[in-house]
Amino acid sequence: MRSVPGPLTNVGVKSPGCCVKGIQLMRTNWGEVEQKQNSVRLYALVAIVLTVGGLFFGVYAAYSINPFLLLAAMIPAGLVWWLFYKQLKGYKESYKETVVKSAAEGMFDRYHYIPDMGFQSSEIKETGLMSLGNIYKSEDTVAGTYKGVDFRRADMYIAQYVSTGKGGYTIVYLLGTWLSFAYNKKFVTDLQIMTKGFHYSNKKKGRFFTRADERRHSFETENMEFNRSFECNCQLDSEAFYLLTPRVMEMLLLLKSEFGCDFMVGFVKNRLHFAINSGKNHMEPPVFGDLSLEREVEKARRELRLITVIVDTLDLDRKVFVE
Amino acid sequence: MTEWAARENNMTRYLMINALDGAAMVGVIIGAIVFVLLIWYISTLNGLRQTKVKIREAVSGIDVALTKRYDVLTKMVDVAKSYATFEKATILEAIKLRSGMSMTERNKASEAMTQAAKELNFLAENYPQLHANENFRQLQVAIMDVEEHLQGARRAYNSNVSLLNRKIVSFPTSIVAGMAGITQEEFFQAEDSKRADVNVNITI
Repeated sequence: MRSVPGPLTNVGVKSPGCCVKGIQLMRTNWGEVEQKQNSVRLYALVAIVLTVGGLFFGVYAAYSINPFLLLAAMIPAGLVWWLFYKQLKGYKESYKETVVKSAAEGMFDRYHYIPDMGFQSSEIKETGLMSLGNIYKSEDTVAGTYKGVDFRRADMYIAQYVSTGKGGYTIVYLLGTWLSFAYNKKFVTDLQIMTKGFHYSNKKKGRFFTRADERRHSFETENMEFNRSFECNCQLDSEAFYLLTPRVMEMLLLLKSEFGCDFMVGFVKNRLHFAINSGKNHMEPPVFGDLSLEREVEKARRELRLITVIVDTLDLDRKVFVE
Repeated sequence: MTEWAARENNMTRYLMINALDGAAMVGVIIGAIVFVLLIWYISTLNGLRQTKVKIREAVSGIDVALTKRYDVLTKMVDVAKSYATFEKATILEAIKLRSGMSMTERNKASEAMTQAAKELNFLAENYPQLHANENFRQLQVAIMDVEEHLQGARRAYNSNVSLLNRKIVSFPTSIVAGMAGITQEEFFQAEDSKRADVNVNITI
């Protein structure tokens, strides 16, 4: 999977007339999106009918005439399913282009949306914050700046498929969003904070499999409510307390109630990472459900608002120490 | 030997064997208890010692922050000298940093530096050219960052001291602490009081 290119383009730069033009463009494009959804539904319906009909006919024909007729009967269904997936891909691209860009309009200083790109697994591995299973998928990158703070977000799915003798099962490590921000303080060591229900982080506490200079240990803060809600691991206590000020702790407690799900925060290499395990793949279009422009844009906007909420709540735009 | 005597002999031997088994059982139980107590003692002692090590680590963090703060303040005084004539650099005279200071001495040094920083900022208010000086402005920002580091080091120290003190006063850890001679540590408290013995003034 490609990573986001370094320099940001001027796509989506805020301008006074953008909103009116944006709405007009949105409504034009929305018509196309609705048409594509209808097309996808039609293909799905035809594919299902052909599959069921093909199965009935194929089994009968295979039994009474020739076994190879079953395969022949499934060919039209296979073809239509292939066309369905092709249409679905086009529909998703069209939906995301229209909805996400409309939602992001006016929210950020500048932004760049790439639907089929996300964080590379190597980038996540390098943070040392997350266990990576054998299934990894990341897409829908939105990168840019908000109040001068560089950010990047993408949907993420990390899981481990465990094969047993007769079959297998999948353990989902993370299904939600990963966000990364430039932090406004310089630091050298790692700090990891997670809610008590966030189970698949990489804590790097093991004595035998973790290098001594990368090892973290748990610590408690002076805020009892924070200690009850979060588990903290760090490499150096004094730097951890430097980053985790009383205000930051209060804000993280606020974010916990705002998100309503388990999440992890990581301070690694002068960047702040958030892994929010919402259990949803955001920015995905409904295939068979009703499409409503306002509802879809509002849904995307709510997801993108996480970026502004985090920057505003944690005062990431306060660049005093970086200067 | 008659049958009855043989039976009595067997009975006696049976009772003796049972008694020996019982004694062995008691010995094993006592040994196990002693072993468990020993393991508990060692692990508790190790826990206390590890906390002491973390406290020493936190103390070193405080020292680093205090030294950085002192260095930045010295640079600020150097810049301020260009704008305000000093007969001598009395502003930092009272602040003496040395290795092996107690927490109380560190507290005093920190308070003195806080007062010195305030005096310098007050001076900058009265000398707009100093206030506008780019170097001075950057040093003011640096001081803020150093103070955040100092606060972090202080909180880390106090957190570990609190943990140690809580362990020491709790039973049965207090027994181990008493036997090993581990005592409570003092907190690093930045208080806004008692500057009577700190000589800070600016001679212009």
